[in-house]
Amino acid sequence: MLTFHSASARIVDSRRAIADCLEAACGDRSADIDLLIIHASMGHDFHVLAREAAALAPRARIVGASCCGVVGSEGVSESLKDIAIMAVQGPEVAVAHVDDIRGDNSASRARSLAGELKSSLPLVNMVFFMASGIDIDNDACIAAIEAELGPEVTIFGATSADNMRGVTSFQIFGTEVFSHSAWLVGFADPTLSVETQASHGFIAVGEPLVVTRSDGNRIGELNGRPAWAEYTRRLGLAEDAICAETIPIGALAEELSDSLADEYGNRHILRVITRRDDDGTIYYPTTVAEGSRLWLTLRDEQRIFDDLDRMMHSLSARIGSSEIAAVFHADCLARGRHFFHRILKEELVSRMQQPLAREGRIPPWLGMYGFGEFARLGGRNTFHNYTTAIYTLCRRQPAMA
Amino acid sequence: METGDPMADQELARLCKENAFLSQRLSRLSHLQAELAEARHQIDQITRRFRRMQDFMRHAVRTESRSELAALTCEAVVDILDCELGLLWCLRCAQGRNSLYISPGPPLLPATIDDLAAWAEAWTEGRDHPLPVSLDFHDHLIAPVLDDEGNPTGILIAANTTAKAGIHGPFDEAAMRSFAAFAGQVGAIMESRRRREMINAQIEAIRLSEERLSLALQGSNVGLWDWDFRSNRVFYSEQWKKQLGYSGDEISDALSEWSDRLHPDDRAAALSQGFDFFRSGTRTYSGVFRLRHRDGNWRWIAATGFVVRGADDKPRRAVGTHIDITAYKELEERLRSAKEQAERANRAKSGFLAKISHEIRTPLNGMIGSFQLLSGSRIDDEQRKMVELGETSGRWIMDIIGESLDLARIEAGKLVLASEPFDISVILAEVIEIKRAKAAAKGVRIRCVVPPGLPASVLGDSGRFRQIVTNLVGNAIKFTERGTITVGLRRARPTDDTAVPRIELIVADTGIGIPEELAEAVFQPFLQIQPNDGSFSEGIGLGLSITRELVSLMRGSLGVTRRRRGSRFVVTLPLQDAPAHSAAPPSVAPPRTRFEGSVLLVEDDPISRKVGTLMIQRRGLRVDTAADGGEGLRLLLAGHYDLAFVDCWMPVLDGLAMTRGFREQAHPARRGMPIIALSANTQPSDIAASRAAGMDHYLTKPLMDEALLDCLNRFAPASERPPP
Repeated sequence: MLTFHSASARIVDSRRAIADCLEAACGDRSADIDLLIIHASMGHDFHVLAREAAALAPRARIVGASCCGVVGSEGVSESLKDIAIMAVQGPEVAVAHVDDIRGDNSASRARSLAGELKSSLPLVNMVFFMASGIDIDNDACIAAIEAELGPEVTIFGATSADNMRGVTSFQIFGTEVFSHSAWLVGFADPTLSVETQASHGFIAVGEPLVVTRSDGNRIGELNGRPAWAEYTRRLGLAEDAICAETIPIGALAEELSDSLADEYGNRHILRVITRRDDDGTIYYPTTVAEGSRLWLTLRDEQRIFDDLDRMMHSLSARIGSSEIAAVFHADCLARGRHFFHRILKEELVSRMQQPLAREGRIPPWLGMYGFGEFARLGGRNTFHNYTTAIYTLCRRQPAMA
Repeated sequence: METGDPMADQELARLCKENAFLSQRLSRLSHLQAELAEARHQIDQITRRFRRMQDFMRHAVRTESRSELAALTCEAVVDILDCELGLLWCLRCAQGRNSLYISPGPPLLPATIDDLAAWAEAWTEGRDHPLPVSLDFHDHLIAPVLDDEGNPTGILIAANTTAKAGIHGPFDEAAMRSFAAFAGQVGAIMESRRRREMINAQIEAIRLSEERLSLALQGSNVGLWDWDFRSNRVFYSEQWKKQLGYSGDEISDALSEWSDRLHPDDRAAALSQGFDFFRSGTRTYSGVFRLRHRDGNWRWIAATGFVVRGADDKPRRAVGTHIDITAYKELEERLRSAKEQAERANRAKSGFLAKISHEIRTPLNGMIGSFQLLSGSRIDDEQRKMVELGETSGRWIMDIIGESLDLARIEAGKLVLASEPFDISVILAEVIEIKRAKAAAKGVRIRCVVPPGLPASVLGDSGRFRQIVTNLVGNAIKFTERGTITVGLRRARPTDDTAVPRIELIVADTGIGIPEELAEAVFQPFLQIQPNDGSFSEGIGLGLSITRELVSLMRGSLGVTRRRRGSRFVVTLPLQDAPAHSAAPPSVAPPRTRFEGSVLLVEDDPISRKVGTLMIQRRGLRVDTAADGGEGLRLLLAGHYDLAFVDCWMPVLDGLAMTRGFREQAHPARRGMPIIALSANTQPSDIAASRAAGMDHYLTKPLMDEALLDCLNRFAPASERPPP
């Protein structure tokens, strides 16, 4: 049976940061950890984090990702020196890794990744997927993983990010640090089940941008014009604007079917542009067909709160009174300080955590502000952007005799 | 797009235009939302920075060293500004040296650190240079860390390197202001720490000083008092209270805690002394008094005090100590009592010795005197030998008594040396002459060596010098069976620190010698070395002891060395040359043995009276006697005598009073008649008393024929008839 322990902190010294978190999460039992998941902001030295973690938890498999901020049971923080960990004890866990995963090889790399995991953990029933958030076809990744593990295996996770500059992001696997890789953590604890859900609270506005030329996850033209030029024109920005300027205001919306819209609480699912080339090509987070219609959006603060409450209500109903072993959480970095000031942000986090608290105690919680989120929608593993996605690992109720 | 219907087309165009306008408005709204979010973010950032500065302040005051504070500061720079590096160049931070502190991260290269150090030195001297390129700073902020007086104590730097420029971005205006505010805080904290360190150091020094004082006072049993004149309250230390058997609150801060405990006999003096001290201009006070202990006994206290005066020179406070000297006082009392006992014992001993001396000398007078008379009468050789034996034995007893009295006087410190001119060569010759016969009887030759160039006369005690020579020569004769005894004088080799000329007396013999291990012991009283032939050594072993004491009193030295045969004694004496006229001219006339005239002998002891009469009559003089001083005075006043011999201690009227009476009452033409004291007492005080009473000379008993003859030669009237 897997047990989970989390901690988060804001500490300048990377070595002391990982040590303090391990001590806070596990006390003097860090040597007994089987899996350590690290989320850390870009100000940290990821090599130091990885090496120090390996030294302090020599038995643990170590995975990690860079982000724009962290969320723990202690609260939320968005600074360049944040760190949060989830330490897992138990045998029913395995990890796999693949490097150099990009938009044009996402399917094959993800397939290889899932195959590696399956060979070491055949009975995996849920996976935590982390990939670089810049230039990746996340739908292709989902399809590839499902092809190996089956669509019934829930994929939850996020894509790594920097501090919204779209320059680079990091992934930790063991004691090594990568910038274009993906890792997969498989859980095979039969006592655990996972409930996932995401929500965003944006509204699509205006005339849609029509994809007039695309190749996989790369959009060459929108409305017959170079994609980046048209995109920035519609946003009212100069063509030389950078992703850091477009991400906060440039969420693109894809229309959902009625049934999915009902479940989602919103007519549209959102996508973020995290990279563009000099020729105006923009990198979409999923495969996008020509003719697709993408709307610009406006965020609605009240709707964001309402949709969040709705999501948590739905999650809580599904979880019922089950014990929550752990909560993983992926939040779009654009929903952090670039949208909300501190008080509102803390309010949002509180509305996520309180419904899941048991006897006033928030369960072990590992959250990050990344570029994208994975959560089921319509019963299918789906990639999201600009959402708050919550993944609750619950202990199944024992069958009645 | 055209519909063919102008109205519809127009409407469509209008709608498209409106749509475009609305799209623009929506975009604008998005921008406004973003700007609002950014503005809120800026506010959040500023608030966050100041919250982090507060966190820093909270942790900074708990740091234990300047190094720890400096390291914390560098981390705080990174935390507050979300930048890559925080650096602090701290002036005189660690052991007085300038030090560089950097936030955690990859270390700088040594060359880079050197560049930065050089830049920092120049910067603090007012030379504004750009940062070294080796630092590869893409973006940085610099602020001085200042003390309260505006002097730089360090340089604070926030920086992002080129490698991380993409992550950290440039410092904006708000960051600059926050950084400047933070640098000010750092300066204040460091200044506060510096002052705190100074205060802590002073507190620690005071604590150590107080601890030392407290330990010293505890170890030395010294009580402290501190009297504030204005409040009239007194601080009494725990040791002060403990001295009197109290502690803590049992003694209040009232002056009466001291004054009420004073011994009634000491109270007036102690209070008077205290107030005099307070009123007078003296700064220090001391006194000794008794205070009542809790158990009712009295403790002797030695008190000292020191006045502290204000700016107006008025006494404000007095601080002092109490030392319990009861033990010393008791010891002092015991010592005083022991001294008195010792003095009484000494007096008793001296008195005993004097009395014994007197009691023995008196019958000895009769004994030796009888032998002397016998030896002058017609007796055969056998009888003469017996008489000589008897006389020798008597003299021996006299010597023993004399040495015992000398030792007693020396031990009591009452032996007074005379200082008069005498001829050391003459005394040497006289002693040798006296001893020669005895030596010759054993077959031992005495040789005298007196080189030329010795002073004709020296200042000193001739009698004690004679005693030294006599003891050493007599000792040499005692322990030499054959060979030669050499007695010599010479000048001692001068030394640098010798101011007074020194004379060496050397007595060397060919006798049994003194074992090396006994070289010092022979000078101990009563110790005697027995001759190898089994014969018994004469005397009681005081001769050398007394000789050494006499030499010591004369500030000389006495030593003995063993020779191949015999011993060699060397006495070194500082003897100042006497003035040339001091030496008495030798007598040229031969001494008389017969005299004419009448003598009165006043002596209460019948035997001494009889012997004395016969001895004097044998010299041709007519003798009348009296048995006490009263009868003697009557006879002297009524009769016509040429000379009187008077015993000093007699019943009715002692010799001294009798002499005084005669000198006062006799006819002036006869008042000068010589009166000779006769006494068994040999104390200098007795001799002095006799002189003071008017006696002309002092003869000690037993009366020796030669002493009598010498005295008669000096004081008997001159005779016109030649001796038979």
